Amino acid sequence: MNRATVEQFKQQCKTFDEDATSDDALQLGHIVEEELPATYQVPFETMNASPSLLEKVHARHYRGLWHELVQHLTDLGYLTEHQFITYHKLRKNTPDEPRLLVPVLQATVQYLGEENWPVLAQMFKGKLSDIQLPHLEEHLGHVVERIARYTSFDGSLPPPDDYQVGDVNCYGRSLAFRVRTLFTLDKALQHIYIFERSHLKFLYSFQNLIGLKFLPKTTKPEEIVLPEECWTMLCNIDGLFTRFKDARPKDISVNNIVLSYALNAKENMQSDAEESDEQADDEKRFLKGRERRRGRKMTKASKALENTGYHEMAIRILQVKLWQTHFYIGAVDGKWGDKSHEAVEGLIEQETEVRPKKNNGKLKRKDRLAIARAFFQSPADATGDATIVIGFNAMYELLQQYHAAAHGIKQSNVSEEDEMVKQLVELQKKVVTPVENHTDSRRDRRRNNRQNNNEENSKDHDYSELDDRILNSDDFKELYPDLIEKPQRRVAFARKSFLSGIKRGFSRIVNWIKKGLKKLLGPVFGFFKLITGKIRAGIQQFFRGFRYLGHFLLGRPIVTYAKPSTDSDTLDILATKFSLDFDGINLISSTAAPADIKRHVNHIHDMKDSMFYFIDTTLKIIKMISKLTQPGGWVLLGWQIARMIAGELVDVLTSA
Amino acid sequence: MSFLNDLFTLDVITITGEFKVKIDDRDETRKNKKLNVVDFDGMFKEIKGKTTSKADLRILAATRVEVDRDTTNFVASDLKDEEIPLVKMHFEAVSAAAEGRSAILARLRPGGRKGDETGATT
Repeated sequence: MNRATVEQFKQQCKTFDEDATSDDALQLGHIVEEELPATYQVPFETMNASPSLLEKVHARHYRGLWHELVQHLTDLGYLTEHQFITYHKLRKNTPDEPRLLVPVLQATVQYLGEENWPVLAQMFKGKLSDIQLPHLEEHLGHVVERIARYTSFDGSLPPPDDYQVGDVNCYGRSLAFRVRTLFTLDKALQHIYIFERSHLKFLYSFQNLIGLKFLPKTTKPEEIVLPEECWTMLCNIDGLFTRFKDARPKDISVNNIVLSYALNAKENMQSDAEESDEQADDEKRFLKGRERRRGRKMTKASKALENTGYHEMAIRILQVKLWQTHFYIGAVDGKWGDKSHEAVEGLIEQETEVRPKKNNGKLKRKDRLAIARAFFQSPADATGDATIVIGFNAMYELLQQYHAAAHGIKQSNVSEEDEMVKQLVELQKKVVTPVENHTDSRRDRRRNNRQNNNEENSKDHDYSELDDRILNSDDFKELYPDLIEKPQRRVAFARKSFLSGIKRGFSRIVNWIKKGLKKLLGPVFGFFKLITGKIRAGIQQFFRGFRYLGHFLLGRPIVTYAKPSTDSDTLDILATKFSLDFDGINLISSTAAPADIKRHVNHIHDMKDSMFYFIDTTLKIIKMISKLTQPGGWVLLGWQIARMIAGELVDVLTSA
Repeated sequence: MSFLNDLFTLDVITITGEFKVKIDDRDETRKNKKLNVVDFDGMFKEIKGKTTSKADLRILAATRVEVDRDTTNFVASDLKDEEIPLVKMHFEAVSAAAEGRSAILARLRPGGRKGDETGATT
């Protein structure tokens, strides 16, 4: 049934694209409005202007986008920390009381006012100050996609064309955020959200630390223009990593850039009693030979950089990378605490798991060395304290296998997006195929393969388990940090470039879908957020567009309900319907209040204003879907819609 | 594109009456979505679904736009002050219909995406 619905949808798009008739439009409308929402729980909304600002029943689909928007607005200083905490205290109430989102709306309007975004004029007609919550919700996915660039470290923010230090705009805020996050230790900057000329001294310190000279030697700050190289260092964490390790003190080798800290090994072992014996045995064997000698060297080397600015910046760079790869959900503050330790432990566990094993189930020597270079734990002393030593370079290289920033800012992501589709298809196959048992005999494996091949035809297209697990999972609730108590903590919102992380964590993702897992930080968390975030934003855009198309093409009525009164159990209705030839009927209750009439007028007006934008978008998507050949479920199709909206379609609209 | 062949004239009509819906019947869940769809086609013969009417339907305004954009407007002669916003709403609907018609025609025409997006004038 699931497959049939998606296939039917694609077939109907094809028919509609080739020869649009009223019957084709009506059938497509039936699938989009009735079958897909019911089968896949996707958010399709009717065009009813309810007295409440936002529609409660659909709020669930957008909450992730609201959370992400709030995080970006706070990091850029459009929302205060107090507002951020208040939002998280009250966020569960927003479906019932959307007015709680008004501060977020105001902050977003301020942000949009500072934006230089060609598509903006098509999305929001009239004055920005007139934008209301429903308008913002309509374009929430797009707005979040856009603002995310200013706080990302993946190289997706292009250098500005005409930014001058001191300008109050998105770039000025983004610069302040990056300075606060990446390198300044100055507490006076903690609550500075616009980068001003007086802050240039921090950039001079920064360039000295990484051994570059991108800022001119001038005493006139007003003449300084930040060159592209400066923006690249600040926006692309991988570029900064490369430069940073090359700028190390002369007498320190790359492998001796290390971070070390004490850990109470006894406590740690007791908390994980089941594994402790096995771990102790492994440790004894592990620490023999070359790895042990390397560990001693690293411990000794760690003294050289302790308490230097270089050392703290190394911690921040690592924290950003751990955060970007979804292993870390703490604050990027240069302090190496429990969350940072748990993050590297998670990474090492994942790396140990994913690397190929010898016949005895142990790692190959080169893999053991790669891990030992990144993470070394000395045996506990008499008091139970062990020393952890992290090799900065080796650890970062492990992390780059999960997320590598774009090589060039203008590089196309098409091939990566195509590869993502392949991964989803592969994932679906794994989900419906029994887990491989490595202890099976060759004969058993042959038998299993035969069985799997026979079942492939019937199961290949059944995406229901994959769809259900990804679209309806509550497994990740506990991973989100307590932002009321710890408002500096952050979750990375994957927007792109996490494909390598998904590939590396593929077996974990399969295991999570098939049987659930306890340890979800890292690739599983990143995969879940990438898929759900992107799909929800993309689908939102498509269904909004189809709704507009439907009202003009399918003759759906536009209905406004009057505000309810306490002494009546009925509501006045105001409705407008356009038929296929655009003849229109307005059906207005004679007892409707002037305020309700005004709302209905606004309702028609909004729809008309947004119509061209959405109809262009939707027709383009329908044409694209009609050309798809890959079968699949809603997650797969949703991904493809999302990529169209985030990529090619935006280009089409901006160049129009 | 058979339905596009009918696009010769554009008629918009605004009708008032006492149209109400029970609060419990509003569209709060997707499952009940169909309950609140107003049955425009059957409204003049009988009232269906959850919509109720106490009759006294009154045509407040009507507009016809010919293919050459000649336009005829009808507005009830005994307009009350509180009905003036409804007339304004009527012309908003005329404008939306004209723009919608032009836009869809332009976009569904083979190879056409941008076309005549101007609406009719009254």
